Amino acid sequence: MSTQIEITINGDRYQGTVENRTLLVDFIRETAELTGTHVGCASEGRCGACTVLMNGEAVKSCLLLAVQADGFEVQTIEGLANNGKLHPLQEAFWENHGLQCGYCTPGMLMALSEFLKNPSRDEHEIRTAMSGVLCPCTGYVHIVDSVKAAVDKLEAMDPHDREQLFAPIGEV
Amino acid sequence: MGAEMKNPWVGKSIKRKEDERLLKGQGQYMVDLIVPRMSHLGFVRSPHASATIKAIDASKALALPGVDTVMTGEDFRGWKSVLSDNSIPNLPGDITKRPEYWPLALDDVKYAGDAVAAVVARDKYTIEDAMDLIDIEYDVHIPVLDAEEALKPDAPLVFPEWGDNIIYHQSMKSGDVDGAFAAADLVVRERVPVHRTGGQPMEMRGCLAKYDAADGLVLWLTTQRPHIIRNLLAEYLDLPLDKVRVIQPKDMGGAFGTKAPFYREDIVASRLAMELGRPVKWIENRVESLTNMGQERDQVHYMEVAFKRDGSILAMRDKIISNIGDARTAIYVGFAMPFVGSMYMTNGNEVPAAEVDLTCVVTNKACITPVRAFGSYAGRIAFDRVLNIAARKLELDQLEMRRKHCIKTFPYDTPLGVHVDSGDFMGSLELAAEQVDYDRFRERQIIAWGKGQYLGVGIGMGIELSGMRSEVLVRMEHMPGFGSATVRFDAHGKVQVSEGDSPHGQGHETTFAQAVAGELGLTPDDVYVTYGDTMSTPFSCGTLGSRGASYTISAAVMAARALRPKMSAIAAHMLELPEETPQREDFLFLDGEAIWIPDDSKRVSIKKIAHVALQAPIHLPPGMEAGLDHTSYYEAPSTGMHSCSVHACTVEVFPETGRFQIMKYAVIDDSGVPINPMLVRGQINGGVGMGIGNATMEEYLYDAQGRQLTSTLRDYCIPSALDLPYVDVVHHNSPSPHTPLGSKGKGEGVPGTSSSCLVNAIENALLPFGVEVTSLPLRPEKIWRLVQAAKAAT
Amino acid sequence: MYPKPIENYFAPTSLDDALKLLNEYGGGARLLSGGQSLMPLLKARGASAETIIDINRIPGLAGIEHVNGELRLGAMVRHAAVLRDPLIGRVCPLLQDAVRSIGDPQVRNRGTIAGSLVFADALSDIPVAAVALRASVTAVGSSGESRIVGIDEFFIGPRKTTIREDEIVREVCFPGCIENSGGAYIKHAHVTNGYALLSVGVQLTIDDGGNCSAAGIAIGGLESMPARATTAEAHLVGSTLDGRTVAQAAQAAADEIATYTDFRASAEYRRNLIEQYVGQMTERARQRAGGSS
Repeated sequence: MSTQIEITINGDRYQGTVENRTLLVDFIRETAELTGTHVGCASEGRCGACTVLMNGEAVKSCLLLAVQADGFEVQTIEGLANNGKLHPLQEAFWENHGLQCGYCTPGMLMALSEFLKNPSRDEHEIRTAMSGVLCPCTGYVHIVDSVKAAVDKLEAMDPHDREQLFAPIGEV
Repeated sequence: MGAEMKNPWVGKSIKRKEDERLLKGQGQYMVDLIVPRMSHLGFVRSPHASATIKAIDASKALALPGVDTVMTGEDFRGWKSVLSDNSIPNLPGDITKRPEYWPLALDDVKYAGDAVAAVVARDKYTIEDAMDLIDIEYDVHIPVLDAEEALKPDAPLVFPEWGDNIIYHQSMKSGDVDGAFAAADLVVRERVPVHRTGGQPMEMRGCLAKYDAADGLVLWLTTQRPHIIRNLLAEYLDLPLDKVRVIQPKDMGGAFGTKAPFYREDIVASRLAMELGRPVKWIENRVESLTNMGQERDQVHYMEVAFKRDGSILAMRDKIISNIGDARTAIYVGFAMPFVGSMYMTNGNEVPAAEVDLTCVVTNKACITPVRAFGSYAGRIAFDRVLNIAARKLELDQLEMRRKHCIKTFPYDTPLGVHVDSGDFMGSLELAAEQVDYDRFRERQIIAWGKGQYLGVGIGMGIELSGMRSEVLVRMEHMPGFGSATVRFDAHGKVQVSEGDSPHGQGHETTFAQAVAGELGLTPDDVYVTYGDTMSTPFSCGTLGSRGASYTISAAVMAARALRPKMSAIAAHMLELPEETPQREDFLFLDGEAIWIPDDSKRVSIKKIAHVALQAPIHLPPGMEAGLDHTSYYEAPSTGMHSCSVHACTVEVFPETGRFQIMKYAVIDDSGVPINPMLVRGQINGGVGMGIGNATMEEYLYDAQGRQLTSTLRDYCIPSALDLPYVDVVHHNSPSPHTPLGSKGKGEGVPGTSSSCLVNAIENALLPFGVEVTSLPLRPEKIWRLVQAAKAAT
Repeated sequence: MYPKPIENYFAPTSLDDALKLLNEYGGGARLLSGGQSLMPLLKARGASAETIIDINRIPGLAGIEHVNGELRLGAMVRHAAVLRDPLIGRVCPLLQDAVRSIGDPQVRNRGTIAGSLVFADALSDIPVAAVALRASVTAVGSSGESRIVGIDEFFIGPRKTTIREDEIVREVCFPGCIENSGGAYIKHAHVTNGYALLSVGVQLTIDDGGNCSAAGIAIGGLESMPARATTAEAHLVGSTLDGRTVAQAAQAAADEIATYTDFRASAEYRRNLIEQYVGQMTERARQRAGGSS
């Protein structure tokens, strides 16, 4: 029924014995006590508010069992800023009013942080990258603006610093 | 001194103060709240739309380790019905029937989703295991789902004791309607049904109830109106107000109106916490949210409009049938929305005479709850549909038609009793036409038609209310309309604004700080906004109806202004200006200082004034009372405060499949004096998205047995980023003559206007076929069918 | 919503171990690959799993190979990998079209091609692509023996395939991914990211003389699993894919495939979509196969 697991979240190791059925999102929110990752669906896994990076890839943490992430590196919204310095994407959202109620925002930011590894200013590509996270507040307009601004910020960055943004957490 | 000075922070698109925590994942939402000894609550809900509950056996569930208790409707037998005189709308017209119901279904269920049993357990996974073990035996009846069917004499009755399915009926008539119709050159009559759709905030509802004898009941709740819920909860549970405290968490993940009612789950959680002696937390899941809240619209309009040959409107008639569902959600009871919608039928058009007949019908569907547009969504579509059909028949251009009809002189009182106080429709129409390059687009369109390419342009326009004043709201919802706020200096010279409303994404922490800072010579960083706790905020009806930037911010501004004479008196005393000095107390508050106007070398820092007022009152002028705070209640001097906006969009429609694509979308917006234009644009963008989603994608569908087919977000499709256009917003503001800053509210009016605009554009693209769209939703299949039918007819 | 209790969770690191576990735990066991269809089902308690055998940690199952005009994908090849792969874009654009229609980026990061086939959802995209491409599936049984199942013998009906409970799919092969072939897929969803009202996949091969030498046409979004439009295929094969022939094929597809009415669309509309999209996709496939315009 239960399994002992260890998941590295934002560089910190969390161990616990979880029921096999425990969803990854509940491990993140309840065992690791990182409540920035949100849940907005029942079973369907559509809303994307729970999006996190698992070994660098955006996944919906409500569609994974915690046991599946045993031994993996997970990055949540709490790990997006680096030593208190906001990620360019966070800055861009702030400057362009890319959020309203903020509930989908952690998922949106994590999904887009993956997109920014191979960024584009093409609106259709940006919208595709956002399409796994639903946001009924913004109509997505300011989010599109925010992503474009984030791409500008990334391009203006020193290439070394930019690489650091996407380096595996342990190696920063 | 003061009032005439321009507020330096108003009109600035500054970054939001709430965003830093939200961007870092440090928001504090309902679900994040944990208290010691907390149990979790879940609801077993009826799979049937209409049934008698014959037996409930929870013994197996109760035997499951970790289960605290199971509560059913039987536990409320002998209790009073939820609805009281204070929680049912009191509207003009006939309200003879009042649904009797209890927090959990007792004896029968009236819609699929009705809460039948409540399970409390130590963890949320166990709740679902326990729910699987509860056996409920139902005697299933044939439901009534369609409003017009429900009006037939042999229809099943939702409330058998009523004798029919009508909960509310009302007629309004003004002007010589019959005469106008008799004299008309053209009368257009259309039946316009608009489907059941609405909104889903990303955060679902939830609450945490805690009870002890000393503090009484504390209910953390996702609500738009903590004070009103507190009153109703105290009334239902027979508790004095000092023993009921409702707290809206710091962050709430959207609402759109859905979190305004007084829901039954809140009562169940509260009672369980009281009886179990344990805190009880309930977090709604999305199935519950989709089957219980956010359902709105769902009206059939029988529109008739009388026109003169030149296109001008002589009169309108409308018979509205509104399907309000099971009518068991308190405060609105499903019929307050269609009532307001019926009043707004003429929208921003000059209509000399009107007659509206509204019938609100109960059915075995979920009770409709408020959703942005508040009852006026369907009417806006219906009116515009008829207008466009008339334009085609009279061979008039839709833009020309709208120029002819829009309200041109303000204030304007509509025949249905709406006072439209200010705006500039004509100016907005011209700007909208400019945005889509209207005339050239029409030329392009004709060429495209010739090549079998179907381009269309649509114009939508709408008035939007900026809150409702007490005169309306007290009668309608037994609550005040005023905005309320306390402005209070702390001893370090920073200012706390405590508002009675309960923001949930609108950005009050920023806009209120901007408005108050500017009034007091401070910066937004010097001002912090608190809200949500009924024990520490002034009484208010909540955040709804586009009232934040109109009513509540006005109260904050008034309260700030009320402090200035005292601040001036303290400053004069601190500067040791002799009593007899002319203009002794004429101060300007700027850049953190009180500056004496006659000699600006005489200055005192505002920080020091606050210090004296609070921490060092020995330096106050003799006899002056200490403290520096004020609470204001803003009540609009006008019977109505409105803004007028115009939308324009262009589309391409593919008749072979009925698909369409939005090419350009623009909004000409009037927000009076926007406090933070960037935030205003955010509200508009979201409203446009909701309107497009409602019109073309979202629909709460039920099968013939009344079970909802759209109970996940895979089936009830909120638009994703790929479904929506970019929106260009152009500010064209007419400052409100009634608010201290000239500001107006924003949000409620957008979805109906955007839906109408899009439908107009699609219909316009298909002009060569002569297609008439007379119902929503507008999906590819419908467009294809309309084209097929039009082709067959020619 | 949360899954029913899961007694056992295994994450074997070899196919042999996985097969042994499958044999041992039998009917109550479920294989977990991408989980993007299974997890929603388990969470909604529409199904339960006493035992989960997670095959994500088995190395060597994520290979993408193109050999002799055949595209071979290991069982754990995820949708995102298909979308990222420039080779697949060249040799099998139909598959990329279909993958692009699936869910959203997060779902594509997890979901697998093989998983989509085995889950056999009547409204999903990959089964349609597989029928159009005449795919074959390699399954390994508990005895270690493998067998190849052609796609036309693969689906029994929605959620049912001929893969036995003690078998694991090791590889999916798409033949005909050759120089002068090309394909296209379109999903007409009820809404974006929704399920298909109707979907069409067309794969063509054009010989040196400009004639169509092979055609695969699959229709999805039906009550049953995707259907092959054989009459329409026959129209195209041997033709020059001229406008008239394509229109005839489209009409034939609409005639031969039974559509249905549900709350999302009518049979009549679906029929129209078949005709429209078979025409459109054939044209797109022809262009991609290098056919002259």
